Amino acid sequence: MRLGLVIDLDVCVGCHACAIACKEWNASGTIGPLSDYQPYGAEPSGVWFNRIRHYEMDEYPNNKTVNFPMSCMHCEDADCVTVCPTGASYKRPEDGIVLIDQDKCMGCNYCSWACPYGARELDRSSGTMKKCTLCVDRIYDQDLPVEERQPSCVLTCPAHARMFGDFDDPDSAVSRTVRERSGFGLMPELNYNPTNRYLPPRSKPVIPVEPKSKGGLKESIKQFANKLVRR
Amino acid sequence: MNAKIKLENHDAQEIKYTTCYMCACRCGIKVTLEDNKVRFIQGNRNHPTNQGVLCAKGSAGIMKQYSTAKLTQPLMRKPGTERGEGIYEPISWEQALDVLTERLEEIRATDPSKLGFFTGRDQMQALTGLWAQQFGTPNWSAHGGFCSVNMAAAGLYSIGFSFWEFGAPDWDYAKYFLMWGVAEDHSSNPIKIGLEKLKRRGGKFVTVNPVRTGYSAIADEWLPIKPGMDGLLAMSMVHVLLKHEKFDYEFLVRYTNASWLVVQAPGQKGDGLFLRDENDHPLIWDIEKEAFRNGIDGDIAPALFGEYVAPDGRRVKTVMSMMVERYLDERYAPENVALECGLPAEAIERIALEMAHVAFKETVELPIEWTDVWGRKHDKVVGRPVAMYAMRGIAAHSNGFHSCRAIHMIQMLLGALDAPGNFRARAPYPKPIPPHQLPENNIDIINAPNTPLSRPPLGFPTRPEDLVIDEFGNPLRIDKAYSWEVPIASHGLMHMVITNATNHDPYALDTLILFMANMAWNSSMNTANIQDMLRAKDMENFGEYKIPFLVVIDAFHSEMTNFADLILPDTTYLERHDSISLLDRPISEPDAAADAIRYPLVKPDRDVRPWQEVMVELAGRLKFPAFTKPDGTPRFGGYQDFIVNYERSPGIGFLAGWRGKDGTKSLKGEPNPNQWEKYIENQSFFAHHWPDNQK
Repeated sequence: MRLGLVIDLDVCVGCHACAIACKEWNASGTIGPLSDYQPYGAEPSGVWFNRIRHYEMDEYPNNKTVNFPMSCMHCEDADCVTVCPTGASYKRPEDGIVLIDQDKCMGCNYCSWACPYGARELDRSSGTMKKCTLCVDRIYDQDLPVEERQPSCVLTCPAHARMFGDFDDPDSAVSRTVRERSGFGLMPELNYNPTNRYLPPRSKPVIPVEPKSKGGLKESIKQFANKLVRR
Repeated sequence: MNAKIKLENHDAQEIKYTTCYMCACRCGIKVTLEDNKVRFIQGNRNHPTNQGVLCAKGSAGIMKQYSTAKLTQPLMRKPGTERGEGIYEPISWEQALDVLTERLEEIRATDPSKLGFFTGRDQMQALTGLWAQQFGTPNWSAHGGFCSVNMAAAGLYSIGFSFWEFGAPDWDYAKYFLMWGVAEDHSSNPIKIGLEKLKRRGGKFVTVNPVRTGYSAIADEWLPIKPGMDGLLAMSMVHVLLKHEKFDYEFLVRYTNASWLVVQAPGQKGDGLFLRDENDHPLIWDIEKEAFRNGIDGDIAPALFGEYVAPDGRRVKTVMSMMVERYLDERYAPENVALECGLPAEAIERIALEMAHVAFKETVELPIEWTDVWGRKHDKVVGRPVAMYAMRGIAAHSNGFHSCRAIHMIQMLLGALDAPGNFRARAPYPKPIPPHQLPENNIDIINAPNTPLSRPPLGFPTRPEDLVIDEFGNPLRIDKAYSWEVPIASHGLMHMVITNATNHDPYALDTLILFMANMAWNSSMNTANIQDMLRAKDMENFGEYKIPFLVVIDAFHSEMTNFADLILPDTTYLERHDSISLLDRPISEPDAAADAIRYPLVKPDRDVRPWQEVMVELAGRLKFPAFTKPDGTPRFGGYQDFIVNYERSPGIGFLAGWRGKDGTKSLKGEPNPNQWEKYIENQSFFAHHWPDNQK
């Protein structure tokens, strides 16, 4: 299995629901915590598995605001794993999920420097590195209803801009969607072979117009004739 | 396989379903609890509003529950300290309610208008409004006057429903969606769900918004309107539709008053009013019968255009003719508004024509039999699949009322209203235009001691006689709603209350009760000045505060609480009973009438009480007629008892589900003593799905 996410840039409205649901699930989950620093203080901050970047592109009328959620891409060739001096960072052979063994991590930050996607953060409370687990404590939990065995970000996304599945299975919904919508991985030139895929914006619909009047002066009111329409 | 991954211990957990309160969408939530603590909040898949998803605010509800700013006990400002210092003495609930009851009894027995009761973005106006009406004060409203009122009033006075809660785009059939002044709110999850549906089906999404954030980011086309110019843009689109004769003649004849005749008698009485017969029916010119006829009737063939001479000799003109004269004027031509709107003329014209194409060339027809208002059967439903939606960007501007009316005008010209693919009403809307409810304006009733108002404090005036003013034209409400200054103030003007009460304009209040309303913020967004007003003293009245007694009810500390004389701490939305009622601000969808409840999922760890419980208690203590038995004892044992047993009219109560003695009736039926249990069993919501011919 090669588990990962598909993110649809055509419909992501940048609402941060995924990031907050992630925070909520993982702040007190079994493989957390996803620490908050002074959550009720003047300058709340904390660790995030998933951050939404917002970009503005081009000039009017071709400009666009792009909302770009980014979390761990669960790369096939993950340098974050290779560089880890303690062996805390590992990629699971059975499903491709990249995890950090919190008991082995010493918070040296090497992995975050190795990751070009900004997916790893140092948790100042625990002194260890943190990253997206694809909610590994949800997706295999047989006690959850089948349809809820998904990462919390996917479950909550109001625009259904996120999908979760197995990219090794050519018939999975994620594989099909990526084929149909030309999904792409980020920065392939770096050869990390990221698992997550992004769907580009759809092309804009073209709607014909049928102008009628060439004039449009106030006098054209005289052209309006009553029709016999019975109510 | 997952030896190293520890999973949740579900044996220690419990799942309960309730309704979110992090914004006014009121989505269904599924809450996982562990040790009387909230572990996880997620969307309820079965709920009609959010269908399983949940926005960022909804998930953040857990942070609200554990906020360190929660109020913990009733507090009384320490004698000798000043407002704003924040020095309080704890008192018991019994003491607090005694103090408040004594004060309110005195006001109610002398001059009931001296009580102001204003609430924030609450979802219990059916109860707070009833409470104010029973008290006998006209000085009540919630926060709508600060928020959606322009848009709500425009809709209710134009189409019988409105953007935001009273209608929704038909996401299943819409092919074109034009969104005005909506960033990422009102409504949150339903719009996000809907935009994805629309885009997946290849529909076009156009946004009118000064900035391209939130929903606008994913629009197929962005119209970067100059702030406040939306109305001019809409009027220019009306110009384009008229110029190119792109309007739905049949729709205008059948379902609008475009053919009604308007008196043209400048300077004389009656100018600009509808021509009416002796029975007050509006008249049209019937081109078949060649006679003036009742414009309400079904068997007419009205002239949509034209100028006529009424039997009394006055000149009259159809509404449509007047509209055409006004909006065909070159003033509204795209090239003449382009600079003011900050948009290319080409785009204005093209968008209007694209909508016309979709409305008239891509019509949706569904084989649904239905009966119209005149009792005639039809074998199909015709939908013009152009949907629109508008919210704060329109509502919050001073010109919002007319801007929104202009948007409704586009919908009417396109015939794109309340049908498949366009903008559909949500029960209990549509209502008569405007709804048949007038605000209390009988000064004798308003001034009468210990007497409820005969009508609600808020309503929909249509004539000068409906205004809430005295014989000299002075406002009778502290916020001056329904005065000549603000005649169509459908939601009241809570943002004016502190200013007016401080200035004793039009009169002084004795007690101001604020419920979950951080008015220091909500009042004109001018926190510092508002706080100064709350500190202002009346030197002519022994140095008493200009607003003598201020009661703040809230679950949380805010910029407002330190200015209260009495603080009553409320519960959070996860700690109390609530009803999201069809009598109030319901959660219906176009295809289903729906309402919902909340019930306590976690026990409060503080000495707090739900304000609704306190309101029912106060209503009993003050002996409001609707809350009192003939023997003078309280009629209701508490809020839950009130919700089950109070009937606005026989069979109609706050909750529409599981009515009737055995819980088998929907919408209407006798009170069911087990109604709360039925709601809880059914995940805290009720949905009555309309058969196709009632949609």
